Amino acid sequence: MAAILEVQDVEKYYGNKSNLTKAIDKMSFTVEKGEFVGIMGASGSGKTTLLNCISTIDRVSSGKICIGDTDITTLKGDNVNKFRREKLGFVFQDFNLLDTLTSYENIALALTIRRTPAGEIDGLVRQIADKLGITHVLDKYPYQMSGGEKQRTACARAIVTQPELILADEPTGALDSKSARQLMSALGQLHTDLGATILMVTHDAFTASYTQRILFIKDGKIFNEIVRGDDDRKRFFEKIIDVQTVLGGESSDVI
Amino acid sequence: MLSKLALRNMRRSIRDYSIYFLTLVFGIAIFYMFNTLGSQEVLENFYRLSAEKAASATTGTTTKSIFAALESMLGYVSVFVAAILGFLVVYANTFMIRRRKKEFGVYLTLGMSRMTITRLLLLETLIVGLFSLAAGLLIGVLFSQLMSVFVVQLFGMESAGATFVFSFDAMVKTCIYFGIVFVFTLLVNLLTVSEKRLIRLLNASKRARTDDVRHPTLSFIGFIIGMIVVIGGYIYTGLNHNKLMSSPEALLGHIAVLLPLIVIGSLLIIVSISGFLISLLNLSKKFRMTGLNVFVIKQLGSKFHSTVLSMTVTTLILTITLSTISGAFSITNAWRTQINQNYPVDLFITRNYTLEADKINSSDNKVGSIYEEMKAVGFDMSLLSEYSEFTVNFSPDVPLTLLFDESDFYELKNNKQLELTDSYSENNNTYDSYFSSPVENIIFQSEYNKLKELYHLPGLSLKKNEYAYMSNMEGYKNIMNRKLSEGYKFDLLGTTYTPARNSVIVSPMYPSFAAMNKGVLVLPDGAKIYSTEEIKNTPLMHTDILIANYDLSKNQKDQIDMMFNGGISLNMTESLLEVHVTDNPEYMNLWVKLGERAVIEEDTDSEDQEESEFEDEEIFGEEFGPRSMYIYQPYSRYIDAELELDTNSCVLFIALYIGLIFLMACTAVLGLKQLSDSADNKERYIILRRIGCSEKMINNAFLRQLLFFFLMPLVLALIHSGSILFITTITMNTFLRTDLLVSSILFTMGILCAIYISFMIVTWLGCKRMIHDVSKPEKTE
Ligand SMILES: Nc1ncnc2c1ncn2[C@@H]1O[C@H](COP(=O)(O)OP(=O)(O)O)[C@@H](O)[C@H]1O
Ligand SMILES: [Mg+2]
Repeated sequence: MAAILEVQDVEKYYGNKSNLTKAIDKMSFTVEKGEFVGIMGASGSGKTTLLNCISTIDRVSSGKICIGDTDITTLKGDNVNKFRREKLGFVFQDFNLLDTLTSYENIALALTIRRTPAGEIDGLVRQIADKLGITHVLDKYPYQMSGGEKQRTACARAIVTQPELILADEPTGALDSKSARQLMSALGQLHTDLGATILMVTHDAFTASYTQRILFIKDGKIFNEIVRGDDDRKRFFEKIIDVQTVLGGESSDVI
Repeated sequence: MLSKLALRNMRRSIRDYSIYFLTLVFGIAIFYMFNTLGSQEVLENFYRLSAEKAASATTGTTTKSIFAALESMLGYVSVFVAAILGFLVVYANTFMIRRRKKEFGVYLTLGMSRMTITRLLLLETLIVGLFSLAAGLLIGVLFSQLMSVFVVQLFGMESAGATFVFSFDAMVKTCIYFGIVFVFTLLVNLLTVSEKRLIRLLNASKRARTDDVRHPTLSFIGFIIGMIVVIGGYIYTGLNHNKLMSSPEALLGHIAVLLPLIVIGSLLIIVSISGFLISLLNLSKKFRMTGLNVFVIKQLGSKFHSTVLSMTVTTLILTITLSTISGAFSITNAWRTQINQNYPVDLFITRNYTLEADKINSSDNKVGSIYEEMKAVGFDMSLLSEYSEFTVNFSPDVPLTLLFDESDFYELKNNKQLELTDSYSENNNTYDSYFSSPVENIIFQSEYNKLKELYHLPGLSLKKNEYAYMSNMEGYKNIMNRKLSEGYKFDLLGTTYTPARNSVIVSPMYPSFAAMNKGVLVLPDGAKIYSTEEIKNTPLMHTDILIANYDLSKNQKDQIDMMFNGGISLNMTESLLEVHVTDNPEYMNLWVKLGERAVIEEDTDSEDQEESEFEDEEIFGEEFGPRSMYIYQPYSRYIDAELELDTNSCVLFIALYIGLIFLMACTAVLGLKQLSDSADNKERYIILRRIGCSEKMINNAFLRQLLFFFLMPLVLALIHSGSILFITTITMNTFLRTDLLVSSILFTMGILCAIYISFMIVTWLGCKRMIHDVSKPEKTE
């Protein structure tokens, strides 16, 4: 399988010389096409920073990040936005839905800014909404929806454009466990049905158990990696918990 | 401790505060600038000139009523300005406090007492108030200087009020007024904080107001009603336009009717157009589902109420600004041009008398030219830098009907040209009665040569059977132009005259502010104008006219005027020959002496200082008798026209000054609204960027919103002020030329629109920076 994402020796520093934070420290890994990869780590371990670098929201200090054939660290100006628009899909912890638009319009907006012909939009939106089970909220505004509905709308917005890579930062972070389960099973479904490539950051073992492979990071480095293989989800979940325990008594962080 | 917290709060919410602060500074500066007008020289000049003019009493009631109206309007305007600025500050304050509700909520949850928060707010208000007052006053002082220079430069005015002084009164007034506004905002804020349910405070910023999409049918009906109200208002005022200028009360009365109609109508139109437009755009799926259109539509809809309100306010201010500035400027400008055209010299002195035609230039005539006569009695004629004198003849054998037939009469009547002259009245309104008695003004070629230099007219050499025609009154001029180009011939006492030129020589003859020269027939020297010797030997009416320019190196215009501004006239009802004199006793004497020479009879013993008295028959005896009487009437360009222009310049200065303040105020309303909105929208733009919108798309989306907010009021205001100025133009068209007015109006409107649009661009740049500023990645955890 072809590598969709290649992270090579990426470093990211914050601050100045006197007060330097190494948020990512010489990190390298790859994600194959069609994979569902999770990134786990304690709070402050550099997960969001990594995702921001991959998603071109932030710049790396050194190293290379290739998505498809493009080295995104060399992209400049509007090319960054163009790349992001055409190749990536995002799901954020705090949804990032536009409060002035309905669920339908939020999803459609992802298509309209890609200049999808107006005639095709309705079909695409309804299809994806159906898959994520949010057809009944399409006409509602974000403030009229529950957290889970909002996040599924955000997922629909990220997926409807069929991006090469979907990046999700703690998508269940703001959800209760029932909504989280609904969301994750929908995401898992999309992954198998559409063959979407997903890179998801989380610190929640339950959420992570829906993925196929998990990278554990600590202090900006990859600390461990586990693959689900043929395990069922329950077994995988237990494995994750095990690794977290090894990672060191930070279980208080892990909920 | 508390003051530290207050200061720190302000630093933390610096962006929200900066908008509020900016509003305050702007408001204070504008208020100061407006009030400073009252203590400036320019207003004193205005009052002085008004008084002077009232004393000279040569101007029509029309213009005087404008000044009176303006004076009382200034009072209302100051109330209006205060209200607008108050509104602006309260608006900016609510914006700020809304964004800070959450902060107060957090303080309360942390256990801070409401009392402490109240004290905190009090302190904040005090700090902000003091700083903004200081900054606002400073800017106000600077700007009032700048603007007076700007007005003078841009509109080429040489007004006496060019230098502006610092006004202590205005400062005190500003402090007091804004002190009250601050107290008011403080009360509003305290009321907000005293909100009992904590959750409301904490959630305040979460809820986006999405006002419901407006109903297209309702919008349409609203639009129609709005149009009816506005158009009705204009038609009502337009129909009454000839009553507008009858008195200041009438003018104010009409404004009092029109203004509320405009306000209500504009509000309806803006609400319905916006609603209609938004729902229409929303209906078109193709449009909605392209680029960021859906976002823009929702943005426009999201703050519908506050947006509509500020757009209406802007429309109104802009309307007032555009119409007062363009109106005042154009009237003054048209006036100036007309004076230059119709009042070509500083001084006219006309002398009417009756004399046998062949005596005029003969040596038996004991009376010299006007110039000689005046010089003889001691007038200082060296004050005239250049002069010329000519004679106008009248003959009962050359009536107006020679050139104008009955159809011309009806044309003139339909074009309302007849009413402009005083000989027209209810019982003198038929062709026969109106055109038979008056006779043509006639001047001969050699006389024409005498006047052409000072009147800046083309040379003319008439052959024995040629004529030319001078006129500048619209209706007459047009008819004669037509006739001349067709080669109109007429027979006069045995000679057939053909036109020497194919167009009228456009020129005034008698002094007049407006173009009121019906016509003067120019005939070759020696042309026969009297049918019989008998008529030639009867004393007939003649007019001598001395035209002259002042030698301004010797003295001021108004000083020279003092000498020449007298006159001798005939008071028919009391049978008196009156000598009008100036206040100066020395000059008075000159006129009395001239009066003594005016009556060509030996027995003029009964004259006293001011007036000479005659018995009825002594004047009119023996049908003009052998004696003659010379009636002098001087006309001064300065008094008749320029004094008016000076007053007008003062009015104009005031109008421009206020207008520019208004323009600033309304762009401030819109600009601040945009700034505060883009602060509100910052999250939205971050989201747009995150989902991959390019900077260009975002800028575009923002620009479209901005254009909507700025251009809609501009377009409406242009329509409004267009209508108002149309009414003004038709009201003025009896004494100001429409084409002059219209071209100045367009010119001024152009400049004002340019200023407005440049304000818009500044706002755009400011907001763009703000949007770019927030585009930097922020930690969202
Ligand atoms: N904008 C920033 N400026 C300075 N330090 C930052 C910034 N963003 C993150 N950090 C630091 O980088 C480290 C990694 O942060 P982050 O990637 O947000 O962690 P996570 O998402 O895993 O909780 C933390 O120590 C954090 O303090
Ligand atoms: Mg994080």
